[in-house]
Amino acid sequence: MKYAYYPGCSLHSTARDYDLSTTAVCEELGIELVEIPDWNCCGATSAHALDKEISIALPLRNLAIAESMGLDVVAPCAACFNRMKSAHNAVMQDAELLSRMTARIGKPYSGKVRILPLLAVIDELGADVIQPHVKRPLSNLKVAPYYGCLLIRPPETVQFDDPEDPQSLDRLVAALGADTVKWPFKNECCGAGLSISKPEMVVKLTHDILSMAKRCGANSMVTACPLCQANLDLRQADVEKIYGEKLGLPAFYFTQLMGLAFDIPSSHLGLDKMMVSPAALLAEAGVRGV
Amino acid sequence: MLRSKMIWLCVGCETCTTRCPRGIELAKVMDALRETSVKKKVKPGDPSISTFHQTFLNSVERLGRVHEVSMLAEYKLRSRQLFTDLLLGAKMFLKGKLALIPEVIKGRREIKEIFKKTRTD
Repeated sequence: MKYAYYPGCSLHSTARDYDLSTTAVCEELGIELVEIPDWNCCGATSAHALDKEISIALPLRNLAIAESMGLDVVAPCAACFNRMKSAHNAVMQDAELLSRMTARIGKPYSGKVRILPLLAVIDELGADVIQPHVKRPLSNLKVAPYYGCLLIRPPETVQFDDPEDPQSLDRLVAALGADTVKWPFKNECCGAGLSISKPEMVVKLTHDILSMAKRCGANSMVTACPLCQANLDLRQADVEKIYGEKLGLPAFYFTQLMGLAFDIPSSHLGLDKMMVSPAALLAEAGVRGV
Repeated sequence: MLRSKMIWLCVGCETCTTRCPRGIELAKVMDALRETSVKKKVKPGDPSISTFHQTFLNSVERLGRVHEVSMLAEYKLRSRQLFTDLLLGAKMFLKGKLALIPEVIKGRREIKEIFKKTRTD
C-alpha cells in the first residue's frame, strides 16, 4: 500500500507527535507514505472564512501534485482532509470553476485521486489486520473516542463514518484491547480555530467535553485531529484551574495508542510532547513506563 | 447582518449543515457573509477573529506554509493581546511544538500568484 502523504502545517509543528507516531505505525503496518513534494498550507479555517476561491486553490495545488504522482492522498489532519475534499468536490461539480482554478494554480487536475483521512485507511484494514500487530493490549485504559467535527461533517463532503454516532475510533480502540467509553459528546465541537482569538470560548467548550468524558468513566481521550488534540491537551490546565475540577485526562492521537499497543518505543511516538503526561496512567495500567 | 458578531463567532463545525432538515448549507452561508463583509469593508463585529484569519493567510501568502511563531507574534501586535498565552507558548516551545525557523516552500511564487490572481480576477 502506497499513498501520497499530506502532513499539513500542524504535523510539522504543534502536532509533531502525530507526524512521528503516524510514520512509526504506518511503517509497522507496511503502509508506504510518500510526502507530496513542496506541499503548501491548505488554508485551513482562515481561507474559507475569508475567501472561497483561495480556500479552493490552495488545497487544489497539493491535489494536482499528488495526482501527478499517481497516488491516492492520505491526510492525518481532519481539517486538511476536509479542506481537500471540499475543494475537490467544488471543482468536480463545476467545470467553469475547475478551469479557472487550474489556471490559477498553473497545473492540470482531473480529479482521479481518492482523498482519505488516515483513520479511514486504518479502519479499512480492520481489526483482522491490526490485531496481529498488538503485542501489548491496552487493557485498563478507558478511552473516550473524540471525533470532533471536520472528520465526519458534513457527510456529503467527507463520505466517512456516521456524522451522529461515528464508530471508526471506537472499533480501533477495541481492537487495541482498551475499553471504549460510551459517551454523548464524541462529535461535539471543541472550538478548534478559535483557540487563539477566543481562548475563553475554547476553554468552555473543552471543559464540557473533558468533564463529560470523565463523568462517563474515561481515564484518557483519543483524537484524530491536531486541533482537537491541541485544545484537549494544551487547554486542560486552564480548564482545571478555571472550573476547579481535577481532570487529568491524557489526550492521545489514535496513532500513539496504536504505537503503544504495537510496542513501538515511546521516543518514536512523541509521548513526551503531551502537556498532560500519560506516564502515570500508562504505568498504572501496566502498559509501560514513558 | 454583515456587522454582526455571529458571522465571526461561527467556527464552521458543520453541525447545523448536517442536521438542517431543508438541506441548507448554513456553514457555507456564514462563509459567504464573512467574505461579503470583508469585500464591502464592513467593520467586523469581532475584530479579534477576523484579524486572526487575516494574519494566518498572510503567513501562507508569504511562506507557502503557516509558521506559528511569526504568525502569533504578528497577531499579538495587531490584536494588542500581547500577554495572552505567553506561558503556554513557552511550554510548547520547550516541548518542541513550536519551530523558530519557518519552513518556506520552493513554489512560494506560485502561492503568491494564487493570492494575486484571486484579488484581481
